[in-house]
Amino acid sequence: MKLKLTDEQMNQMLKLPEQGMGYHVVDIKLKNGTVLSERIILDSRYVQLNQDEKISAFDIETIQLHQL
Amino acid sequence: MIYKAYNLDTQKLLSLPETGMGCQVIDAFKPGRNIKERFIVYNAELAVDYDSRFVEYSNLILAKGFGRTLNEAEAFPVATESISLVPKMLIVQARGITESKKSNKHRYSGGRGAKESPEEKANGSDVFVRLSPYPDDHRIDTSNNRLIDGSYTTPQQDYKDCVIYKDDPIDRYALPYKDGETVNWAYYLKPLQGDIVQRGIVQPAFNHDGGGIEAYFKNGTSKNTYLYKRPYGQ
Repeated sequence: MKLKLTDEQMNQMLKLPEQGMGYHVVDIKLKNGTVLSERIILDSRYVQLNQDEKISAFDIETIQLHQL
Repeated sequence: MIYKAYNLDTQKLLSLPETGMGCQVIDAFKPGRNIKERFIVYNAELAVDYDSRFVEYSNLILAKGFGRTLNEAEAFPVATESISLVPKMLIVQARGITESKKSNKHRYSGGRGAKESPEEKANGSDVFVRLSPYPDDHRIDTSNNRLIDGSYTTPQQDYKDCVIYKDDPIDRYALPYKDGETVNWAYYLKPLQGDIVQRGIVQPAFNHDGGGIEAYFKNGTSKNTYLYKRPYGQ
């Protein structure tokens, strides 16, 4: 399952350095306070979700590179 | 080397989660270095360089015992504020490239990743390939025909090796794909002479062995360096 980011979120990801070919490892903070740690974003636009997660791009408050 | 952490370091380490029972895998700066180095820390106080002599140090700790090793250890020479935990999924796992993969698939083992490697200037003739599942990879700026800043590729020769030796690109380049996602496209780039590139060996991650060559362009490539894209393997 994957979630497509909004254009604004994608533009933000495009400014961040990749951690490998075609992906970022990020921490995603949701508006309800939940933090999704060490998540993969492919091609600066698709967030890999776990099967039971139902999240919209509009639920996302911030996306930060996971500190390696 | 084996080190004893300062109290301040221990406090910081205790505030971070464990990587495994009783141990943490961390990165931190040593004085005068601009690249973080990796350490295994036991009980938040005994740190060991995670380098080619790691096994030797581990055996030494086992032989001497934890307490005696700690008493004899040197001070841990890192900046406390630089200590960061290495995510489990990115830890270089003890899954070395098998000899058959090295010889049959032209992969490499050990070394370091591109970002940890020295910068060099492109020679203007080398071609690099970016692999992607997508026909419109967003790190290729098609309005300026360039690779955008902070993006990874592989040298064309390594891509050729991957194809010729029928290697699995997801394992070779340690790509975190799932749900059947695969490499479909190859984007070719020819950086201008002087474009900054860092080359390294893909480190194991995401349960993949890595061992391909990766090339990182922190400033991207110059305008009009994107050549074309082709389906993977063609």
